[in-house]
Amino acid sequence: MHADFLFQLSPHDSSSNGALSEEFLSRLDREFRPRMIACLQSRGASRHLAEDVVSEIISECMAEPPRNLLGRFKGEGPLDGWLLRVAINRFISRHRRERVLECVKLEVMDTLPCENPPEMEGALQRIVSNVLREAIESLPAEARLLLWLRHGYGIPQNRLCVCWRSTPSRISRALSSARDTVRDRTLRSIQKEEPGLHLQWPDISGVCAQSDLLNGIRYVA
Amino acid sequence: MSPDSSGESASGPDDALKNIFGYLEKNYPSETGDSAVPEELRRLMKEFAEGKTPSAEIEALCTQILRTPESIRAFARILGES
Repeated sequence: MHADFLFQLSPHDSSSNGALSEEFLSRLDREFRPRMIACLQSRGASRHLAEDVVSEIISECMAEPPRNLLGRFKGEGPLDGWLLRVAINRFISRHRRERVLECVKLEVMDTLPCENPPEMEGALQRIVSNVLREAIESLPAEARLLLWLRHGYGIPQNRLCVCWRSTPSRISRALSSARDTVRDRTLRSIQKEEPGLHLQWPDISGVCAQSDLLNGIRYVA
Repeated sequence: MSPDSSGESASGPDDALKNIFGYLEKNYPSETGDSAVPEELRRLMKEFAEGKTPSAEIEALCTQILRTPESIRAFARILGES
């Protein structure tokens, strides 16, 4: 199915100065629309909601720049997988906002119904990993080391108090402030780099937790 | 993970950050080439672990410790052992 799928095509018609190819848009609507709807329904969306979200996405794919959704695709992983991820994240956002559906599929980043899930997951992890590192690296050295020791290696706060000759409440405040900074900068960067993702903080943690690289013990070697 | 004698809960922000830092730790770039932690740095880390580092020198020492994954691990190990 995937071998001759529409995303083998370039969205842009080379002869029309950057305009979207009509064939691409037609197949997007004809072939990919039902696939996205089925994907969202398999994640717990009602038919009505799935159709609504997918119509919104397809309409954004056809919009004029700069509103055109395809303009945000950075080429990391397959385009169909990226669009499915956008659809799933839109669904999650709607679900959260409207609080209509039961809390069903918030762990949706687990696996995605795409022909190449490892590649997609890898792309998502690279994005998340890069923005997290940048957010952490932007902290002052003391705050950064505190976070590494407390959260990377599980060092108890009272041990950190000894090192810094500080009180538990001051260490707590320093950790809390550093965590807030990392969270805010990470979410802001993702919003800027990948506006279609709509990731929340628990999703970031979830992406990290589901990494295959976390199979081993991660405490101090 | 070591038991946390500070009595704080291991849930909430700790859980989220544990996943994140665990992930980053596992994916720490390994091409730093500095596999050994210099003895002098190890000595400074031990003093730091005992609360003997003057406040004015902590920031610089933190920067030094953060320079390689090995030195962060070594410092965490010192803290875990002491």
